[in-house]
Amino acid sequence: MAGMGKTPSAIEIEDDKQQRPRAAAAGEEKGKALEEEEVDHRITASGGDGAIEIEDKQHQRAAAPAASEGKGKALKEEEASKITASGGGGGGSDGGGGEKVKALAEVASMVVVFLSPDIVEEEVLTRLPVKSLMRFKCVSKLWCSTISHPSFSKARYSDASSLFIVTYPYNDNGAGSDSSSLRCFYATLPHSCRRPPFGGQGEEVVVKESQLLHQDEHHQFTTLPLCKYKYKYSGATQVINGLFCLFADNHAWVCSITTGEMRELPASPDPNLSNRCAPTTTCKYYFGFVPTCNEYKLLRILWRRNHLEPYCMILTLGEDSSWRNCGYNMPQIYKAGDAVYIDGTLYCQRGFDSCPGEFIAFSFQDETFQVIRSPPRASTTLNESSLVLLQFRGHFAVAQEKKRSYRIAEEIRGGVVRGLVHRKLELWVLEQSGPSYEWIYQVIDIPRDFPGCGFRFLGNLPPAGEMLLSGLSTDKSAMPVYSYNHTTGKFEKFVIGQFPSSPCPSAASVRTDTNTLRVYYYEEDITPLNDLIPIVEKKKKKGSRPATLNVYGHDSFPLGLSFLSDVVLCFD
Amino acid sequence: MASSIENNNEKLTLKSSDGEEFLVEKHVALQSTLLQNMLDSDCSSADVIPLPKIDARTLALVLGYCKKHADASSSKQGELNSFDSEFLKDMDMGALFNLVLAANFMEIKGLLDIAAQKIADTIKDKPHQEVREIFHVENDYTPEEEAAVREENRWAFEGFP
Repeated sequence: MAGMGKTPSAIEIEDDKQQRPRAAAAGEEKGKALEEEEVDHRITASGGDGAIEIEDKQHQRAAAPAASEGKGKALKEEEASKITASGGGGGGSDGGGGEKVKALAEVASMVVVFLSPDIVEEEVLTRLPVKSLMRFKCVSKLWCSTISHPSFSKARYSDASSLFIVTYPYNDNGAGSDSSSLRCFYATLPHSCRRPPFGGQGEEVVVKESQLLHQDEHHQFTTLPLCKYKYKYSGATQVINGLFCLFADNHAWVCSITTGEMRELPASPDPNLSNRCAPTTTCKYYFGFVPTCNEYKLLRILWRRNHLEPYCMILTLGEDSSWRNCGYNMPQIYKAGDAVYIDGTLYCQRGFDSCPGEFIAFSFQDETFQVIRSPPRASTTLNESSLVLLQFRGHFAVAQEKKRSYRIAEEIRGGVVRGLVHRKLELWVLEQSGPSYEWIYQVIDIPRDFPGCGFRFLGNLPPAGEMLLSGLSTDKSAMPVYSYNHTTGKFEKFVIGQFPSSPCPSAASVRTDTNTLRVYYYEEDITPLNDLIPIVEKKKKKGSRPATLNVYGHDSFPLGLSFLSDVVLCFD
Repeated sequence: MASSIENNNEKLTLKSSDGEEFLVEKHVALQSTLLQNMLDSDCSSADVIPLPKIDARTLALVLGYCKKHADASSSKQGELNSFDSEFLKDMDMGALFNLVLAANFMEIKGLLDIAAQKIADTIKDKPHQEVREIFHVENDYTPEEEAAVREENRWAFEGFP
């Protein structure tokens, strides 16, 4: 074969059904073939020969020792046979190449391909899964800062849109002392639900236990820094933008479900510290986001014995170092009631003693409560224990119970029959514009195979806030989930697979018929918490008051005890 | 081989870093945005186009990929996907690095995607010490600093020594 330097061989890629680029060695002048000798190019498409990289001398960027994969060994073999890969083509037919081949052979000792940090960052790191990225922070300081940079998360080629499933204890408190069934899981959204057209026909979603909430045999969170303390009220808030809060009495943590990063929040004043306070009967936390100012807030609602009005405190994450009072002239809130968070507003049920069927809307932006009257015609039939609060097309909605369903015995699950009459779901949808609102009555056809007559609201999916419903199935193996497509007015079905048994031996298994289950959609975001929620040391806002606790729960009787958060921390 | 592109006999010559010349059909070369821009900007196809950063064996692979994708552009995606995975099968890290560099330089998006993804898939379950060696990254952590970063991300290290 002709020498490489002076008489280059033109290699044409032939039709390669066998996937081997074939080289046609050509003559001294380009395009004019002297010999039609076909040479099987040594380099196959599959690169099976362990590809040696010999670059032109001026293109060597690094000559570090060959790293792995037996490259060094292969290189020696290559040297021994005096064949340079870059000499190519000939397959050893003519050892006496041009000067260049000789030169290459001389420098071919240990040439290693080297990817520049830019290419590694832009092309390789962006394609790695989260767990690998978290480990590879240990590779070097540059890798760590690259991976931790806020812009890196957006540059990732990840379509890992996933589901995060939380099972909350199903009891009066929603966040009560029995946290054994508070568990969380990761699942990947089935392809049929990711984007239209939807063709989901019972695709099964595999559920994996999340490592975020490790609990010991006493149902205490071992993942939390204060695991020694016996919590009375512990639990988890709803998930917003891949973040949620964990709480245990007056302590709370914000947590990223993508990275597992956790940050402790300032402790809130704890009424139980003062024996003059009425004992707390229930405590709940709600997480909120205000898009206009990109702020996350955490609302804490306390119910105390003999007090109808709850006590509310709020914390702006990253900004406040202490909790603020909110909710003067508080309406009653039904403490065992459901609640739904929709775009910066929390909707919950009003105390039923006084105002049956009314609702409270709490705006995280204004930090105000608004009472919403019950839907027309519905007030007499609404029953607090079986009301389903949900999000429908971005609006707050309530499913109405129909008592006449009771006559069908097998449709009764746990004494609760919800909303489904003659395979129809009846909804009251709240349409709000500013302070005014109206209720719209809506009826949806339920699929024929929807199990039982009861249902649960699980959450919403993008793109249009598709509503997720499940039947009250007692089948432990799998849970059919129906996603309501607002555009077509139809349901698509997928199945949430079996929940793994709990690592904590005494914890109850997940019961899809009795646990409160919430399914949250999130997109992976590996941005560190300190960038998502930067800590801003601000001077006290005008008009903000430090959280105080009214002993008697009335503003007119301000026997407020101001608690400093660092004082509260001293309890052991 | 049938092609819907007119003048598919038009060819151009690419020259690798080690001086080897490759005669390629124009529609194959157009898989590369770099070459496309050169051709658009009045660069005569009679000239030899030097690719000083790409050696012959890598260029042969690149052109094999381009040919398959140029000819199969109207055929089924599934066939291309299986070609792609077969194309990269058993390829070692050095060859993949070369492919990434070449695809990045020649602006062949599809090839860059699959080669870089293959690298990511290969390293994702490897210990970070090994990843350091693969990319020739110097460890600039003190043992204490590295332990601290590791502790912050403890969950990710489950199952790793």
